[in-house]
Amino acid sequence: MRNFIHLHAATAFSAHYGVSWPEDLAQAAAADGADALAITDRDGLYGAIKHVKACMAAGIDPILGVDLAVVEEGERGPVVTGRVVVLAHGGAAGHPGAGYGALCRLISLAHHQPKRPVGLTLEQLAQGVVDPASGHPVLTVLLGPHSPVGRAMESRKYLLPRSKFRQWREAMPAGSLVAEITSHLNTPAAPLSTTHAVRMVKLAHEFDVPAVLSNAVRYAGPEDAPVADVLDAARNIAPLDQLADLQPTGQAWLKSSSEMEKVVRDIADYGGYGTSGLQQLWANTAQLADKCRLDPHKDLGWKQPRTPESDVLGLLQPARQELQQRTESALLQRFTGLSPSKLEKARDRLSVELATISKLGFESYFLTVAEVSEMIRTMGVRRAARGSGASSLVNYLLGISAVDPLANDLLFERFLSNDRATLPDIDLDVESAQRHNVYRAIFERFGAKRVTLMSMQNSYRARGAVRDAGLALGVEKGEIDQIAKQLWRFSAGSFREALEEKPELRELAAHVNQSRYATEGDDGPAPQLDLLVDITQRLDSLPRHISMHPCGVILGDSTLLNRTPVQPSGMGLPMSQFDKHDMDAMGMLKLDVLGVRMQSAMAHAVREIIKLHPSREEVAAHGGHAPDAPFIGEDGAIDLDAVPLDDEPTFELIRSTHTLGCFQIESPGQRELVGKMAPAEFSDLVIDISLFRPGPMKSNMVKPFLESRAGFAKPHYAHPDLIPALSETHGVTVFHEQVLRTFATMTDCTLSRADEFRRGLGNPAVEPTVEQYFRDKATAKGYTAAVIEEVWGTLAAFGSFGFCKAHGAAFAVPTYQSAWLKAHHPAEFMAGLWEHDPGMYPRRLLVAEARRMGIPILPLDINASTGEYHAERTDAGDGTPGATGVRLSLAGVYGLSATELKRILAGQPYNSLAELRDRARLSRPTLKRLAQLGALDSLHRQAKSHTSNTANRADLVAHVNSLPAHHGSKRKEPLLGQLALPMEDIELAALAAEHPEAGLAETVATELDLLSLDVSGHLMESYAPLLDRLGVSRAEALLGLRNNSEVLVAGVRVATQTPPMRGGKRVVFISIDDGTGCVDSTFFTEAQEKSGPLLFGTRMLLIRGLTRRTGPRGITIQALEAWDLQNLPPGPERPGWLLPRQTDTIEEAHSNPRMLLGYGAIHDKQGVTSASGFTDHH
Amino acid sequence: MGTFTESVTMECSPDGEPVRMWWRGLCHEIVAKPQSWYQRRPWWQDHTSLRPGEGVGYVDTQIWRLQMVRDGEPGILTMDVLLYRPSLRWRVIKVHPRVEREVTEAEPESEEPEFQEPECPEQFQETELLAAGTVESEGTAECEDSA
Repeated sequence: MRNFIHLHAATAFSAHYGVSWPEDLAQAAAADGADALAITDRDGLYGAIKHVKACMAAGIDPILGVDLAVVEEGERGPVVTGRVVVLAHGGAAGHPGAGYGALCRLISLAHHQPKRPVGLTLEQLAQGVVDPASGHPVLTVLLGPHSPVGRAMESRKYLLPRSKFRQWREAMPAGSLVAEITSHLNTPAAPLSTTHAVRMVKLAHEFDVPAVLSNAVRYAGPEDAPVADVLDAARNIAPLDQLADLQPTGQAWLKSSSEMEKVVRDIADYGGYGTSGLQQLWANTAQLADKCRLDPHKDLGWKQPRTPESDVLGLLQPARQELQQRTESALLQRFTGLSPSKLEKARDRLSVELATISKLGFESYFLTVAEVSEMIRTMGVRRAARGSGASSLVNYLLGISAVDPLANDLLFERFLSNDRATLPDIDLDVESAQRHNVYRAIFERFGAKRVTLMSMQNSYRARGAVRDAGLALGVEKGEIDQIAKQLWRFSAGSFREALEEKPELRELAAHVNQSRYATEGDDGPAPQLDLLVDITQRLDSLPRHISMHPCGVILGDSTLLNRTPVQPSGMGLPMSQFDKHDMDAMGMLKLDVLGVRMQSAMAHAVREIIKLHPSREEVAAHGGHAPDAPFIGEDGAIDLDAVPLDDEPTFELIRSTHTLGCFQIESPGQRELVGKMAPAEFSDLVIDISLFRPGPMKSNMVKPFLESRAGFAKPHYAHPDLIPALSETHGVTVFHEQVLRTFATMTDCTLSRADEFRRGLGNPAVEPTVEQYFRDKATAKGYTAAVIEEVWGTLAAFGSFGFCKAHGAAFAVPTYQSAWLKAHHPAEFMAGLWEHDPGMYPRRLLVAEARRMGIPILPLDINASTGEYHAERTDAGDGTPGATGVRLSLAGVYGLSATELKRILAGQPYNSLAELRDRARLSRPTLKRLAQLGALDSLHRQAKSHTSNTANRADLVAHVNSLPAHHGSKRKEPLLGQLALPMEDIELAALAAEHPEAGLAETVATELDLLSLDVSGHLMESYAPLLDRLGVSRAEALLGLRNNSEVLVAGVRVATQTPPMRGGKRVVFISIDDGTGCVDSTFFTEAQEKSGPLLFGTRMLLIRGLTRRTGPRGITIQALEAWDLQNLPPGPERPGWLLPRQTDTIEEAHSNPRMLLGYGAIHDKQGVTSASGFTDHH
Repeated sequence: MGTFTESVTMECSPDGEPVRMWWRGLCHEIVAKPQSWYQRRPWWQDHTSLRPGEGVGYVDTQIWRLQMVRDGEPGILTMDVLLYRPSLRWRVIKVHPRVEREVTEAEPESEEPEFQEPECPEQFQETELLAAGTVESEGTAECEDSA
């Protein structure tokens, strides 16, 4: 007898159902001697491609199917009445790919059933199993214990299973139906018992349908049966104690052939069959398995890239010629001014790239991406290429990337090489607000059968896992919430480890320990706490559901939907059931179209500029550009991508560190870095962005770089041969490209080979080989052991991080553009930032930044404000034009609904409060809030202008508040055709002046409450007298202070960061804003202890600390202690507790280098790291 | 009820099927093909850990219905015996009333409408109670093992 082949098995990708990973199942099957294994995930092929990979690795044949819901019309609409397994036939049994294609379409159909649960009716199944081309069935349906037939056995109606079976037998095409015999050895006569299996055998015999054996697998081994229980609880959102339909036994594992033989014998014994009946069942199973074996290459098109057909791309010649022609003509266009020798170099580079692309057969891929990019451009949507795609001259010439790879010295090999035949990644950033429109346009352009969105798996992490484990165990929700809140930044799988290590979990760990000895009814922690930890770990990283990937779009030819099942995504467009790990295997062209808020913000700014300055001359005058600036259109439209990259005011702004709002360089750490580095040209920005990464930060590359750059230290090179590769970064290895060049220089390997080596760094399986190669070749080239040792040390350390220069260059473009806008068109830029909120800070900080820059902040106004932030001209009060201001948006008002906003906009402008009430029909709270925010002041002013009324905003608010609540009755509305008389607003003109006017502090507080912005003045303004009494220094004044001066600073918290530290000690960065700028402060251990809990919870802080100069324009505070500004300890005018400990102590500190060294020692030890933090505090 | 849950020593065939049982010092020879099935247990109440690799025998317990002849006694005894995994301990949970001939009946060939189902409901109610008692003590024993 041949070894048993499982035809029904769910992987972990059957969310909240399957427990085991495809790799484990395939290996277990192969270890048992099976030569094939089927995966049948629930309602999809979610784990299918991983399964095929796992089978190929294990050397067995993959079989693919689905465990699909069956829908029947119930009394109250369609309901799921069971599940069947559907297996795809392999090409050997018919046309290659026909079975798999039919399976994909069948699953897509099951998900495309509006107003019906996912699943198919019997009729749909009967139709779907047939290959339309040949008319033959290419799928087999397995009627098993969970099918409507099997479920009918659970009832007492004896005849029901038979009539159901007959129904299926008659509906399904001949040869497409088998009975699936499964026994989970449950108590006799219960579901999934052997007695039920016997009945199914009998029915199959009676209707002359072949019977096959399965074990309806949910886990690889018996030890995972409890996890399946927990998943059942999670799926049903109920504790295990209350679940009615738990798996009846724990037998649903991938049993070995000998275990399955026992099951068959059990069936034979109960059914009174001899060995022949037993053998038949076994043989049928093997036969069906043979029919369903898939050849990944022939059936699935394994690794065969499919791109849109050339007629879809509108090509009139082969893709190769088209690509060559387009790039060559673009070359001449782009590089007109280049010297002949440089032009020759560019030509050489182009022909190398084209040769590689052609060898890999990727021409149509590039043309497709170019087509998408061009389509986005013509939509008027901003886009930029990111990632290694910027390394390619072809991408630059096709207009996909805006970065010139020659000028930036980028290596094509980092992007694409003959040694790596995977489809390259080209990522496009688009305006976030336009992303969905771009997706829809791509669907339209290429046709729905060639496009689908990519999905992603959302998996259990610590918090979700502990919640579901707690739910299953019936732990009280409050207790679970308490535990879940404490878990973050580690995987569920390391829960027990974390309990031992993390100080914040100490208390929980103690409870867990106690729980081992606790019993039910004790007052102590729940007795299951220890079990809870174990279950949480078992759930680690199991998939929970799929969702739309944030940027992946799959483009293919017209066969795409035969190669991936699709289901509706959150935004309505179909998404593939495959994730990014499946793309390459399935030859799917994935385009990342990522929504970037900064792009939206910049687009908004450009539109605002045109609105106020609708001609080239006006824009040039307004922004301080040359009158004939080529990047400004006749209509005033600025083409940001055409702005020269050497604009001095832009770099001046960057060096000033006033970079709030600029892409990538606004964080406290980056402001400190640009302050130190003082970028002077575009390539400096590329280095800056690449340096500000966890890797370079951690390995302390920043300091030597800065010192060499500033000329304090001589650059160090391990060997003079490396100078060409490393001189741009003063001997420090920062970029992937430099690693490639180092390999190539010292081992004479090709750059593309070098990229393969780079990919091997950090991979324990590969790195030793790379190291051996490097050492051997470098030794052979005559490098000394010391040089080899040093260089290898750098390369090996590089393995864990590193940044592709092309990526840095691609990022630097929007960085530069945003800084350029801020330098030349600040108000419009601010409007864009406020509208799209792209950065890391609360919007109110950017409002404060506008105030600092002298940009008028124009309050809400019922007539002037719209649903967006707009730039608006002001007048200087004497009739001459003033600075451009920014008008606040009504969309930011707390509690104002979208429909109310729509009505307000439709009804603008308003002449009176009555008009506003009638047309906008606002709720009373909304109207009151608008009044409180001053949005009605203009109506009020206008009404008062003819009277001597002195009523103020407070009176207006009181009046609005006293109005009867609005009733949406139609009766009060004016009749159609009845025009409102242009009347004075008597209502407002007659307001009684009886309330005192609100002070600035109160107004600002109201604004913060209702708008989350301080508009009328900075939040800190009302504290000015207090701050002056205390002698607090303002942010703008800090730069004038000497290093190490002791100061008091105060402000509103705008950012708190606690990057992980090398030494294990925590450093807390707190940035506060005092209205004159940002103060960035650093709290080391001692200061943290002194300041206590207010470090994290307090909004307004008073900080005592020492100034630390970080660069020509940079200064930060090393905090000594902090207080809550709103809750200062009582004391006299300048209370003693605020004074420096003792004046002489401080002077001593200044004069005594050892004390300063004390701080220095802390810096060294804790060497602040991470993307958000900063390395070097000297 | 707990009195029934006595630990026994079982001798099995290479296939894992019981062949001989020692109970109260007496040898019981198994004389007919044993029947077995699995029954759920509320493992989340009985176990306090689920460490990696643990979990076998959590969800279900195997029940064996054995027909045997006791040394030197006439007639056939039917007993239900539990097998705990992974400890592989056996416990008697039920001794059926003595009958003179085999209890097992072949599955009737033809359709027998309504009376197929109640194969053993009344016996099972009792068994469940017994099993629940044993499960608890076994659970604790396992815990000590693992600790």
